[in-house]
Amino acid sequence: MTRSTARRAAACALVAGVVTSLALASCAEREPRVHHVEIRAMQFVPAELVVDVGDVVVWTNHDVVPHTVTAAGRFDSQQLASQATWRYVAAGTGAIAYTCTYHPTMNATLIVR
Amino acid sequence: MRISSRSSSPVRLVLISAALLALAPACNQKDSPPSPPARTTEGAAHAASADPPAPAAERPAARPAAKLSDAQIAAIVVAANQVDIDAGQLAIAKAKDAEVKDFAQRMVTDHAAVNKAAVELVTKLGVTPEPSDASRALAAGGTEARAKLDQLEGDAFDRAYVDNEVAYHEAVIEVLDAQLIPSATNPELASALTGARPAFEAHLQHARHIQAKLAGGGAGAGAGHAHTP
Repeated sequence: MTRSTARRAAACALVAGVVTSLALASCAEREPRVHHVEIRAMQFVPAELVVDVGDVVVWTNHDVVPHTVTAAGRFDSQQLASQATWRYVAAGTGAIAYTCTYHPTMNATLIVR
Repeated sequence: MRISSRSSSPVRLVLISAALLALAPACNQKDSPPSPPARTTEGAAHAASADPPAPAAERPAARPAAKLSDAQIAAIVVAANQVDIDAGQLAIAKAKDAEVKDFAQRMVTDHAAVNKAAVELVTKLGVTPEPSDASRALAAGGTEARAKLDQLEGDAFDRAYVDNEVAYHEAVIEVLDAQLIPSATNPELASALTGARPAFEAHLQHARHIQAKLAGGGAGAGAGHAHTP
């Protein structure tokens, strides 16, 4: 191996290492978190939740009556029976107001950043 | 109880009196003869109108309340839910307004769910629901109210049904707070009763919202969005 070839190989190895490190760091940053919203006593708890794009939000219905988790044009769990859960992967940034279509007094906000 | 400014329809008063009769066993001590039906209806009329309340000495609630047993509470809960399920089924069949029909469907679904949970709980606790004057009066009042509702059609039916729902949920919340929850001895039963209260409160707000809309108050009053598929 000539000296110049050796230099190129070393440079490539360095670049590859940096790229790999950056990729790993990027993966670590994008690791989605799981958030939980409890539906209890005819309320979403917490009523406001801040998540990052790609995070997972899990709603669990602890009431004996069925509910929905619905944001018009964004997401809709359909009927969520007692003790059932529903997951949503946060997409698109902004504040998303959502409700239970069965019980209009139930309102909350998901903020995606 | 919240005093409503709306006029009191006969149908509404029947259901109010039915729910309030749940208090009767607790209020009528052994040495007190039970109130005749006419007197009870008068009391309900007071509750549903803007009339000033009777002097404290004349009000049954001023007497010490007798304690209901868990078995009696269970029967009252089942009867109260069944009254609203039956009314809801009638409204699903007869209501003209889509929102009223949706609300009725919600009442059937939710009160059936509450009843199912209640029956499962008392079964687990080994409590057999015990009919009482209160549970029987609730059932009878519900039957009478449905018979009167059934004579109405169209907008008149919708308004009467929703008025009944407002009065019914107000009365049930009152009975829950004043009698059922304080009387429950089993902690799980007490917890279940407390846990059911927010559903009744949400139904009441929803019914008031529809009531305001039917009265021409617009969708801005009460609960806001009210679509129930």
